[in-house]
Amino acid sequence: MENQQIKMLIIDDEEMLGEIVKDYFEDLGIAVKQVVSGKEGIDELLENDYDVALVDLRLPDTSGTDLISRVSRERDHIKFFIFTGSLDFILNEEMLSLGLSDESVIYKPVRDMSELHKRILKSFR
Amino acid sequence: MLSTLSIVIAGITAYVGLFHVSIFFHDRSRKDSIFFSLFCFSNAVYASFNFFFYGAASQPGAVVWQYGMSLTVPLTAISLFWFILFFLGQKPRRIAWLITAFYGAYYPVAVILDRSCVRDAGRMSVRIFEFPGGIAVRYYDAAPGILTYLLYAVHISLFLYLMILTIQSFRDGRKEAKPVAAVLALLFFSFVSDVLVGSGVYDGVYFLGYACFVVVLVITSLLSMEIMSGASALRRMEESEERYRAIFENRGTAAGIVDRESTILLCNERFEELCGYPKSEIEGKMKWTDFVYQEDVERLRSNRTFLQDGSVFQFECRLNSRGEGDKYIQVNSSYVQGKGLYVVTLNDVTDRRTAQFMLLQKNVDLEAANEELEATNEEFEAQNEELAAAYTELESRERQYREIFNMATDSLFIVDEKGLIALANPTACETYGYTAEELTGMEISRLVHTDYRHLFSEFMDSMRKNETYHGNAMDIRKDGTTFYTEVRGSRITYMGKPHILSVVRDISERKRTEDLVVQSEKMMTVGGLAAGMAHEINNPLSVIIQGIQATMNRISSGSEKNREVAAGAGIDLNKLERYLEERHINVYFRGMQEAAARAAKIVSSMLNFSRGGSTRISTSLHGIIKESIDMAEKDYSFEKKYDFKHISIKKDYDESIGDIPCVPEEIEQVFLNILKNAAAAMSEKQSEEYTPEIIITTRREQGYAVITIGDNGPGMEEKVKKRVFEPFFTTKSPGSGTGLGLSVSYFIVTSNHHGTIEVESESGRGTVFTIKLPLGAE
Repeated sequence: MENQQIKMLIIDDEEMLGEIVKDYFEDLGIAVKQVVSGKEGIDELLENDYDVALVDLRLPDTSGTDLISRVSRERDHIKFFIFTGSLDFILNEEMLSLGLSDESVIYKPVRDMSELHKRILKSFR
Repeated sequence: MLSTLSIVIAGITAYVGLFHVSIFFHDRSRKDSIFFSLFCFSNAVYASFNFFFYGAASQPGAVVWQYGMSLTVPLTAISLFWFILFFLGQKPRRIAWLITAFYGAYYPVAVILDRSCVRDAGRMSVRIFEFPGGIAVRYYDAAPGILTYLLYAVHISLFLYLMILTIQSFRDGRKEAKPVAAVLALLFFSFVSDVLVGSGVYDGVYFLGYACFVVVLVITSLLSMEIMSGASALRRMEESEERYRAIFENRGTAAGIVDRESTILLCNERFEELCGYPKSEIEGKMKWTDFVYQEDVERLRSNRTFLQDGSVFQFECRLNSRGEGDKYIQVNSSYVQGKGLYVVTLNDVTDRRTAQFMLLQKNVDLEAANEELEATNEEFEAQNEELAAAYTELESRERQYREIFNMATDSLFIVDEKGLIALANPTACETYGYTAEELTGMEISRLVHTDYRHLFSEFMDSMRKNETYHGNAMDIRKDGTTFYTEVRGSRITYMGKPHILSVVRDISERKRTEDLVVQSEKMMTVGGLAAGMAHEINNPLSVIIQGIQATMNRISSGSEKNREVAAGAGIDLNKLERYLEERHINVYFRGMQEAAARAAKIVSSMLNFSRGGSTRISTSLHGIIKESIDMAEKDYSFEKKYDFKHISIKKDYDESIGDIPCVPEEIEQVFLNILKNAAAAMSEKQSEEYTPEIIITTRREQGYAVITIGDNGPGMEEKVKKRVFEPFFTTKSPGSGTGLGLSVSYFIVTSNHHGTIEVESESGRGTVFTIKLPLGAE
């Protein structure tokens, strides 16, 4: 899949970080939207057609995993990436059953965002 | 005719009287005899007067003789009275003396008053009395006077009194009372008859005189019978008299015959000697009580059985003698049947008494001494028992203490005041690696590590001040190894001399545990904190790191969009790049990125403290070690300071150790940390001949795989060694280490793998890490 075909949603309450990531991927030609809460994220994902979602684990109104389990039931084609500062995070059974893998977990800080880009592209293969 | 009879009666009566006087003089105890003889004489006088009375031819003559007759009557009465008293064995009472006094008073009164008070010559009558058979008696009779009537009344009361006495005596079992009663009856009737005649109630003769004569006859026959029987006894006595006399005289005992009044009638020579008086002064004159101390006599009198008829009496008293000083006598008195006499013997018991007394005194003394001895003995016995008990207790205590001493798991030393070991228990020998013989006499200070000798002098100081000591130190074994100790000391007495008891406990294990607990606690805190912080720190770090990346991207001339925007702004991106390069701005950016990355790494490392429950998988231990060495070699490339490839790595593996249950990445990290630290340390030590060397060994030990990683680097000082596992502690320059490597390693080994990690290091001689990991079920 080409960058230009990808539509991506970033859900992170650290607004500046979301913006940086958004800018980075937009420069690569990916269509990116950024929201800062779980509710906004769920609405966006259900209303619009996204291919990729980068979800912060700790959101002010919900947790990343809850959001994923809720949304993926209706939009199972979306590739979810968990974006977290909690380095001790480990995928649970449910996440694994929803098709997530270690590749789906991105630990903050990301030293090189090209790494993240590669993983996204890889997920569409 | 009557006058003839009277003179005959007078003669006989006088004779009888004389007879009884002689009896009395023969036996002075017979007071009844003397009174009877008096009675006889008075009767004889009366009879004589009677002779003249009846024979008087003229009236005045008759009056005179009658007056005389009347005067004899009181004497007759009083002598009869006393006779009966003694005859019946009665003791004279006050009433007897009263009666006697009355009769005695009669005579002066009769003499003083007119004769007519006795016999009234004015009222004379001629009495003619005709006896049966035609014999008539004719006499002049004067009527009784006032005094005579008075006498009559007294006579009656006297009779009554005597009757009462007689009846009492009879009741008391005296046979003599019977004839006395008969006599009294006769006298009473004749008296009544005489009174009636005298009062002129009827004509007759005065009868009392004759009655008295009958009485004299009766009594004398009574007494004679008594004397006769006594005489035959006397004869028998006389026969044996000499025998008895000989016995009486020659017996060693002082003896005497005593009458009821205690008068000594007879005594023997021994009695004389004893009392210091001649017989002539004693017999019939002295009472034997005269020889007895007054107090003793009173004591005697209070005794009811003393001189009571029929009783045998014995007592001891002091003799009041004229010679030979004070004596103790034993008095025996026994009643002589029917005689009113007592045989009293006095035994001189002075010697016996003295002996007895002395014996008694001695006895008392002895008893006192005995008591004293007994008391002393008891005291000794008690003391002995106490001592024995104390000894037994001491013995058992000694045994107990010896056992305690020998069984104690602490090292115990008994040290003399010079600091030389006098005794050490088996634990001490075992702990320090010396034999008991080697320890005995050794200076205890030699067991103390040189670094702690100052504490030893403190110890000795407090012992000298008699204080107890409590402190920690490090001691040294025979083989040179050291261990931490807890030392307690106190003064004791050993073998009678002041010593010091030193109790040394090996606290290495405890100290280690304590240290680890402190470490763990610290780490749990750091870990817990790190977990919470990681998320919060990583977000801003992401902004920095990723922001810089995004910045670099947007400056880059390689992007079409960048060039487009730059052109629109009139900027040549190639020139900008050159500017950034020349002004080192790119270096700043990379520096910022690195710094943020380091912060992220610290957070990441800290997070390891709170991580746990990672699944342990069986992995080859030696494989992990190899992996770690490889990583260390690669890791070197980042650091320019040292070259890991120059380090000689020696391996001494126990190949039997295969897989161990572990989280391989974590264990890898542990080894890598140690290897990197070793390399870094050795790089500081640079000289021509120095070859940095790492020795890795593995071995099995009681269910553990023991891995040692040692280097020949500069080693660590004690204060560094103490802190190596402490989080954020580092000796490296800022930026080259997080200070968390070894503490994370510690956490991984102990908390996540239930193993141990220890470090041994000596300054200048290198460092050895020893890691023990459980082999798991094999």
